[in-house]
Amino acid sequence: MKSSVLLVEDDLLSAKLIERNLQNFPEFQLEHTAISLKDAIAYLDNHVPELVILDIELPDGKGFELMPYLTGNPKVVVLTGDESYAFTAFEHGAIDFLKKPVTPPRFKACLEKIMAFNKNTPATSDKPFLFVKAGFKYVRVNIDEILYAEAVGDYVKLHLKGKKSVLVNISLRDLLSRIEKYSFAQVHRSYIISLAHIDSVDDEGVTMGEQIIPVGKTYKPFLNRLLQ
Amino acid sequence: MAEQLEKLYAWIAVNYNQDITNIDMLQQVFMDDDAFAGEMLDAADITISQIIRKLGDDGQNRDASSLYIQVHSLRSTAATLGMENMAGFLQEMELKLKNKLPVSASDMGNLQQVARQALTVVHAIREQLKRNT
Repeated sequence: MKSSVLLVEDDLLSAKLIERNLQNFPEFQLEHTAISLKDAIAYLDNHVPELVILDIELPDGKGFELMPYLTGNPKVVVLTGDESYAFTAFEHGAIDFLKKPVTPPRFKACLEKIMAFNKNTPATSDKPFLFVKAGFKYVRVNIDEILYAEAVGDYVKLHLKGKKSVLVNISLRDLLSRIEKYSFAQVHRSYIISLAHIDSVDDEGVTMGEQIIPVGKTYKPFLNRLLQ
Repeated sequence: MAEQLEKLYAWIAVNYNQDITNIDMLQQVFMDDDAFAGEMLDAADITISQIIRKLGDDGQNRDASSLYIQVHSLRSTAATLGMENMAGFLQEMELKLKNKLPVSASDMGNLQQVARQALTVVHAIREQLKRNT
Protein backbone atom coordinates (compact mmCIF):
# COMPACT_ATOMS: atom_id res chain seq x y z
CA MET A 1 0.00 0.00 0.00
CA LYS A 2 1.21 3.49 -0.85
CA SER A 3 1.97 6.00 1.89
CA SER A 4 0.02 9.22 1.43
CA VAL A 5 2.11 12.39 1.35
CA LEU A 6 1.24 15.99 2.15
CA LEU A 7 3.77 18.49 0.84
CA VAL A 8 3.66 21.91 2.48
CA GLU A 9 5.76 24.25 0.35
CA ASP A 10 5.07 27.74 -0.97
CA ASP A 11 8.08 27.86 -3.27
CA LEU A 12 7.02 26.69 -6.73
CA LEU A 13 10.45 25.44 -7.78
CA SER A 14 11.13 23.56 -4.61
CA ALA A 15 7.64 21.99 -4.76
CA LYS A 16 8.22 20.87 -8.36
CA LEU A 17 11.54 19.37 -7.37
CA ILE A 18 10.02 17.36 -4.53
CA GLU A 19 7.08 16.27 -6.70
CA ARG A 20 9.44 15.06 -9.42
CA ASN A 21 11.66 13.24 -6.93
CA LEU A 22 8.64 11.55 -5.37
CA GLN A 23 7.68 10.12 -8.76
CA ASN A 24 10.68 7.80 -8.47
CA PHE A 25 9.20 6.15 -5.40
CA PRO A 26 6.07 4.07 -6.04
CA GLU A 27 5.78 3.45 -2.29
CA PHE A 28 4.66 7.06 -1.84
CA GLN A 29 1.70 8.94 -3.28
CA LEU A 30 1.61 12.73 -3.20
CA GLU A 31 -1.97 13.59 -2.25
CA HIS A 32 -1.76 17.34 -1.88
CA THR A 33 0.63 20.27 -2.12
CA ALA A 34 -0.31 23.06 0.29
CA ILE A 35 1.17 26.50 -0.32
CA SER A 36 0.34 27.98 3.07
CA LEU A 37 -0.40 26.96 6.66
CA LYS A 38 -4.06 27.78 6.11
CA ASP A 39 -4.22 25.50 3.08
CA ALA A 40 -2.46 22.67 4.99
CA ILE A 41 -4.75 23.00 8.02
CA ALA A 42 -7.83 22.87 5.78
CA TYR A 43 -6.48 19.69 4.15
CA LEU A 44 -5.75 18.10 7.54
CA ASP A 45 -9.36 18.66 8.58
CA ASN A 46 -10.38 15.75 6.34
CA HIS A 47 -7.20 13.81 5.66
CA VAL A 48 -4.62 11.92 7.69
CA PRO A 49 -1.38 11.79 5.67
CA GLU A 50 1.32 9.30 6.55
CA LEU A 51 4.18 11.56 5.54
CA VAL A 52 4.34 15.34 5.78
CA ILE A 53 7.14 17.17 3.98
CA LEU A 54 7.10 20.53 5.67
CA ASP A 55 8.69 23.82 4.65
CA ILE A 56 9.30 26.16 7.58
CA GLU A 57 9.14 29.64 6.09
CA LEU A 58 5.57 29.97 4.85
CA PRO A 59 3.75 33.16 3.89
CA ASP A 60 1.37 32.94 6.85
CA GLY A 61 3.67 31.56 9.55
CA LYS A 62 6.21 28.93 10.48
CA GLY A 63 5.73 25.33 9.35
CA PHE A 64 6.17 24.16 12.96
CA GLU A 65 2.78 25.74 13.73
CA LEU A 66 1.22 22.86 11.80
CA MET A 67 2.40 20.28 14.35
CA PRO A 68 -0.63 20.58 16.66
CA TYR A 69 -2.93 19.83 13.72
CA LEU A 70 -1.26 16.53 12.84
CA THR A 71 -3.09 13.40 13.86
CA GLY A 72 -2.45 9.76 13.05
CA ASN A 73 1.27 9.89 13.85
CA PRO A 74 2.62 10.92 10.42
CA LYS A 75 6.34 11.04 9.76
CA VAL A 76 7.46 14.63 9.37
CA VAL A 77 10.37 15.68 7.17
CA VAL A 78 11.38 19.30 7.54
CA LEU A 79 12.40 21.10 4.37
CA THR A 80 14.17 24.45 4.61
CA GLY A 81 17.00 26.56 3.31
CA ASP A 82 17.93 27.61 6.81
CA GLU A 83 20.07 25.09 8.70
CA SER A 84 19.49 26.90 11.98
CA TYR A 85 16.08 25.19 12.15
CA ALA A 86 17.62 21.71 12.32
CA PHE A 87 17.61 21.47 16.10
CA THR A 88 14.06 22.80 16.41
CA ALA A 89 12.96 20.34 13.71
CA PHE A 90 14.23 17.33 15.64
CA GLU A 91 12.86 18.79 18.86
CA HIS A 92 9.43 18.74 17.18
CA GLY A 93 9.90 15.06 16.35
CA ALA A 94 10.89 15.38 12.67
CA ILE A 95 12.34 12.18 11.26
CA ASP A 96 14.66 13.99 8.85
CA PHE A 97 15.80 17.45 7.83
CA LEU A 98 16.27 18.31 4.14
CA LYS A 99 18.20 21.40 3.16
CA LYS A 100 17.08 23.09 -0.04
CA PRO A 101 17.70 22.50 -2.82
CA VAL A 102 17.07 18.82 -2.35
CA THR A 103 19.26 16.61 -4.51
CA PRO A 104 17.98 13.20 -5.69
CA PRO A 105 20.56 11.20 -3.68
CA ARG A 106 19.67 13.06 -0.48
CA PHE A 107 15.94 12.67 -1.14
CA LYS A 108 16.38 8.97 -1.81
CA ALA A 109 18.29 8.55 1.46
CA CYS A 110 15.48 10.31 3.30
CA LEU A 111 12.71 8.12 1.86
CA GLU A 112 14.76 4.97 2.42
CA LYS A 113 15.14 6.00 6.04
CA ILE A 114 11.36 6.38 6.33
CA MET A 115 10.71 3.02 4.67
CA ALA A 116 13.18 1.33 7.02
CA PHE A 117 11.55 3.09 9.97
CA ASN A 118 8.09 1.94 8.89
CA LYS A 119 9.33 -1.63 8.55
CA ASN A 120 10.96 -1.69 11.98
CA THR A 121 8.28 0.12 13.94
CA PRO A 122 5.78 -2.07 15.74
CA ALA A 123 2.17 -1.32 14.94
CA THR A 124 1.47 -0.17 18.51
CA SER A 125 3.39 3.07 17.94
CA ASP A 126 1.03 3.98 15.12
CA LYS A 127 -1.62 5.06 17.61
CA PRO A 128 -3.21 8.33 16.57
CA PHE A 129 -2.19 11.32 18.64
CA LEU A 130 -2.45 15.06 18.67
CA PHE A 131 -0.29 17.89 19.92
CA VAL A 132 -2.01 20.40 22.16
CA LYS A 133 -0.68 23.57 23.73
CA ALA A 134 -0.32 23.29 27.49
CA GLY A 135 1.20 26.42 29.02
CA PHE A 136 4.25 27.33 26.98
CA LYS A 137 4.77 23.99 25.29
CA TYR A 138 3.00 21.57 23.01
CA VAL A 139 2.35 18.19 24.55
CA ARG A 140 1.57 14.97 22.76
CA VAL A 141 -1.59 13.17 23.77
CA ASN A 142 -2.52 9.71 22.47
CA ILE A 143 -6.12 10.00 21.35
CA ASP A 144 -7.11 6.58 22.68
CA GLU A 145 -6.10 7.74 26.17
CA ILE A 146 -8.62 10.58 26.24
CA LEU A 147 -11.70 9.63 28.30
CA TYR A 148 -13.42 12.99 28.14
CA ALA A 149 -12.73 16.71 27.76
CA GLU A 150 -14.17 19.38 30.00
CA ALA A 151 -14.38 23.10 29.24
CA VAL A 152 -12.77 25.14 32.03
CA GLY A 153 -13.08 28.85 31.26
CA ASP A 154 -11.01 29.56 28.17
CA TYR A 155 -9.24 26.20 28.52
CA VAL A 156 -10.09 22.55 28.16
CA LYS A 157 -9.15 19.89 30.68
CA LEU A 158 -8.41 16.55 29.06
CA HIS A 159 -9.16 13.66 31.40
CA LEU A 160 -6.96 10.73 30.48
CA LYS A 161 -6.66 7.08 31.44
CA GLY A 162 -4.91 6.41 34.75
CA LYS A 163 -6.61 9.43 36.42
CA LYS A 164 -4.22 11.79 34.63
CA SER A 165 -5.34 15.14 33.27
CA VAL A 166 -3.88 18.02 31.30
CA LEU A 167 -5.14 21.59 30.93
CA VAL A 168 -4.80 22.73 27.33
CA ASN A 169 -5.22 25.96 25.45
CA ILE A 170 -7.90 25.06 22.88
CA SER A 171 -11.63 25.58 22.55
CA LEU A 172 -13.96 22.63 22.94
CA ARG A 173 -15.19 23.24 19.42
CA ASP A 174 -11.69 23.11 17.88
CA LEU A 175 -10.85 20.03 19.88
CA LEU A 176 -14.00 18.27 18.66
CA SER A 177 -13.21 19.08 15.03
CA ARG A 178 -9.85 17.36 15.47
CA ILE A 179 -10.93 14.22 17.33
CA GLU A 180 -14.54 13.65 16.24
CA LYS A 181 -13.42 11.12 13.63
CA TYR A 182 -12.03 8.93 16.45
CA SER A 183 -15.53 8.36 17.95
CA PHE A 184 -15.83 11.38 20.18
CA ALA A 185 -19.07 13.29 20.68
CA GLN A 186 -20.19 16.40 22.50
CA VAL A 187 -22.82 15.56 25.11
CA HIS A 188 -23.01 18.87 26.98
CA ARG A 189 -21.92 22.42 26.21
CA SER A 190 -18.92 21.77 28.49
CA TYR A 191 -18.15 18.12 27.73
CA ILE A 192 -16.87 15.93 24.91
CA ILE A 193 -16.65 12.20 25.59
CA SER A 194 -15.00 9.19 24.01
CA LEU A 195 -17.76 6.80 22.98
CA ALA A 196 -15.32 3.92 23.32
CA HIS A 197 -14.96 4.55 27.06
CA ILE A 198 -18.63 4.76 28.05
CA ASP A 199 -19.60 2.28 30.77
CA SER A 200 -23.30 3.10 30.85
CA VAL A 201 -25.86 5.79 30.04
CA ASP A 202 -28.93 6.66 32.09
CA ASP A 203 -31.05 9.70 33.00
CA GLU A 204 -28.30 11.01 35.25
CA GLY A 205 -25.77 11.07 32.47
CA VAL A 206 -22.92 9.05 31.01
CA THR A 207 -20.88 6.95 33.40
CA MET A 208 -17.19 6.60 32.64
CA GLY A 209 -15.40 4.79 35.46
CA GLU A 210 -16.18 6.70 38.65
CA GLN A 211 -17.23 9.83 36.80
CA ILE A 212 -20.73 10.76 35.69
CA ILE A 213 -20.77 13.21 32.77
CA PRO A 214 -23.95 15.28 32.48
CA VAL A 215 -25.82 15.14 29.16
CA GLY A 216 -27.32 18.42 27.95
CA LYS A 217 -30.95 18.44 26.81
CA THR A 218 -30.08 19.48 23.28
CA TYR A 219 -27.44 16.74 22.98
CA LYS A 220 -29.63 13.87 24.24
CA PRO A 221 -31.29 12.97 20.89
CA PHE A 222 -27.90 13.06 19.16
CA LEU A 223 -26.33 10.79 21.81
CA ASN A 224 -29.25 8.38 21.63
CA ARG A 225 -28.84 8.16 17.86
CA LEU A 226 -25.13 7.46 18.25
CA LEU A 227 -25.73 4.74 20.82
CA GLN A 228 -28.28 2.99 18.64
CA MET B 1 22.55 17.16 -20.63
CA ALA B 2 26.00 17.07 -18.99
CA GLU B 3 27.51 18.36 -22.26
CA GLN B 4 24.95 21.17 -22.52
CA LEU B 5 25.68 22.22 -18.99
CA GLU B 6 29.41 22.20 -19.70
CA LYS B 7 28.75 24.64 -22.55
CA LEU B 8 26.54 26.70 -20.30
CA TYR B 9 29.32 26.82 -17.72
CA ALA B 10 31.72 28.12 -20.35
CA TRP B 11 29.17 30.74 -21.43
CA ILE B 12 28.59 31.88 -17.87
CA ALA B 13 32.35 32.08 -17.24
CA VAL B 14 32.65 34.53 -20.14
CA ASN B 15 29.57 36.60 -19.36
CA TYR B 16 29.41 36.46 -15.58
CA ASN B 17 31.40 35.54 -12.55
CA GLN B 18 31.73 31.78 -13.04
CA ASP B 19 30.45 31.15 -9.53
CA ILE B 20 27.08 32.58 -10.50
CA THR B 21 25.56 29.14 -10.62
CA ASN B 22 26.70 25.77 -9.42
CA ILE B 23 26.55 23.55 -12.50
CA ASP B 24 26.91 20.33 -10.52
CA MET B 25 23.92 21.32 -8.45
CA LEU B 26 21.92 22.21 -11.58
CA GLN B 27 22.75 18.87 -13.13
CA GLN B 28 21.44 17.06 -10.06
CA VAL B 29 18.33 19.24 -9.82
CA PHE B 30 17.42 18.77 -13.49
CA MET B 31 17.82 15.00 -13.13
CA ASP B 32 19.06 14.66 -16.69
CA ASP B 33 15.54 15.33 -17.90
CA ASP B 34 15.22 18.09 -20.53
CA ALA B 35 11.47 18.42 -20.17
CA PHE B 36 11.72 18.73 -16.41
CA ALA B 37 14.58 21.23 -16.70
CA GLY B 38 12.36 23.28 -19.02
CA GLU B 39 9.49 23.16 -16.51
CA MET B 40 11.76 24.26 -13.68
CA LEU B 41 13.17 27.14 -15.70
CA ASP B 42 9.70 28.29 -16.74
CA ALA B 43 8.61 28.21 -13.11
CA ALA B 44 11.73 30.16 -12.11
CA ASP B 45 11.04 32.72 -14.83
CA ILE B 46 7.48 33.28 -13.58
CA THR B 47 8.50 33.37 -9.92
CA ILE B 48 11.41 35.78 -10.35
CA SER B 49 9.46 38.07 -12.72
CA GLN B 50 6.72 38.33 -10.07
CA ILE B 51 9.31 39.04 -7.39
CA ILE B 52 10.86 41.82 -9.48
CA ARG B 53 7.44 43.42 -9.89
CA LYS B 54 6.66 43.14 -6.20
CA LEU B 55 10.09 44.43 -5.20
CA GLY B 56 9.27 47.52 -7.23
CA ASP B 57 5.96 47.96 -5.36
CA ASP B 58 7.41 47.17 -1.96
CA GLY B 59 10.39 49.38 -2.65
CA GLN B 60 8.03 52.32 -2.71
CA ASN B 61 6.06 51.18 0.32
CA ARG B 62 8.97 49.55 2.17
CA ASP B 63 6.60 47.07 3.75
CA ALA B 64 9.06 44.91 5.73
CA SER B 65 6.90 41.80 6.03
CA SER B 66 6.01 41.75 2.32
CA LEU B 67 9.66 42.43 1.41
CA TYR B 68 10.71 39.56 3.64
CA ILE B 69 8.46 37.14 1.74
CA GLN B 70 9.85 38.34 -1.61
CA VAL B 71 13.46 38.06 -0.48
CA HIS B 72 12.86 34.65 1.03
CA SER B 73 11.21 33.43 -2.15
CA LEU B 74 14.02 34.81 -4.30
CA ARG B 75 16.66 33.18 -2.10
CA SER B 76 14.85 29.86 -2.25
CA THR B 77 14.57 30.05 -6.05
CA ALA B 78 18.20 31.11 -6.45
CA ALA B 79 19.35 28.30 -4.16
CA THR B 80 17.34 25.70 -6.11
CA LEU B 81 19.12 26.77 -9.28
CA GLY B 82 22.54 26.61 -7.64
CA MET B 83 23.01 30.39 -7.46
CA GLU B 84 24.79 30.12 -4.17
CA ASN B 85 26.51 33.50 -4.22
CA MET B 86 23.24 35.31 -4.66
CA ALA B 87 21.66 33.15 -2.00
CA GLY B 88 24.35 34.35 0.44
CA PHE B 89 23.53 38.02 -0.12
CA LEU B 90 19.81 37.32 0.02
CA GLN B 91 20.18 35.45 3.29
CA GLU B 92 21.81 38.55 4.81
CA MET B 93 18.91 40.68 3.57
CA GLU B 94 16.39 38.16 4.86
CA LEU B 95 17.97 38.29 8.31
CA LYS B 96 17.90 42.07 8.25
CA LEU B 97 14.20 42.09 7.40
CA LYS B 98 13.42 39.38 9.92
CA ASN B 99 15.03 41.50 12.65
CA LYS B 100 13.13 44.55 11.40
CA LEU B 101 16.30 46.48 10.68
CA PRO B 102 15.91 49.44 8.34
CA VAL B 103 16.27 48.75 4.62
CA SER B 104 18.18 51.45 2.79
CA ALA B 105 17.65 52.64 -0.76
CA SER B 106 20.95 51.03 -1.65
CA ASP B 107 19.75 47.69 -0.19
CA MET B 108 16.67 47.97 -2.39
CA GLY B 109 18.81 48.75 -5.41
CA ASN B 110 21.03 45.73 -4.73
CA LEU B 111 18.00 43.52 -4.25
CA GLN B 112 16.49 44.53 -7.55
CA GLN B 113 19.83 44.11 -9.29
CA VAL B 114 20.26 40.61 -7.87
CA ALA B 115 16.71 39.67 -8.88
CA ARG B 116 17.27 40.91 -12.42
CA GLN B 117 20.58 39.07 -12.60
CA ALA B 118 18.87 35.86 -11.43
CA LEU B 119 16.28 36.28 -14.17
CA THR B 120 18.99 36.87 -16.79
CA VAL B 121 20.78 33.71 -15.69
CA VAL B 122 17.52 31.73 -15.85
CA HIS B 123 16.94 32.98 -19.41
CA ALA B 124 20.55 32.16 -20.32
CA ILE B 125 20.31 28.64 -18.95
CA ARG B 126 17.10 28.05 -20.87
CA GLU B 127 18.57 29.45 -24.10
CA GLN B 128 21.68 27.34 -23.77
CA LEU B 129 19.75 24.20 -23.06
CA LYS B 130 17.42 24.85 -26.03
CA ARG B 131 20.30 25.64 -28.37
CA ASN B 132 22.08 22.45 -27.55
CA THR B 133 19.17 20.04 -27.76
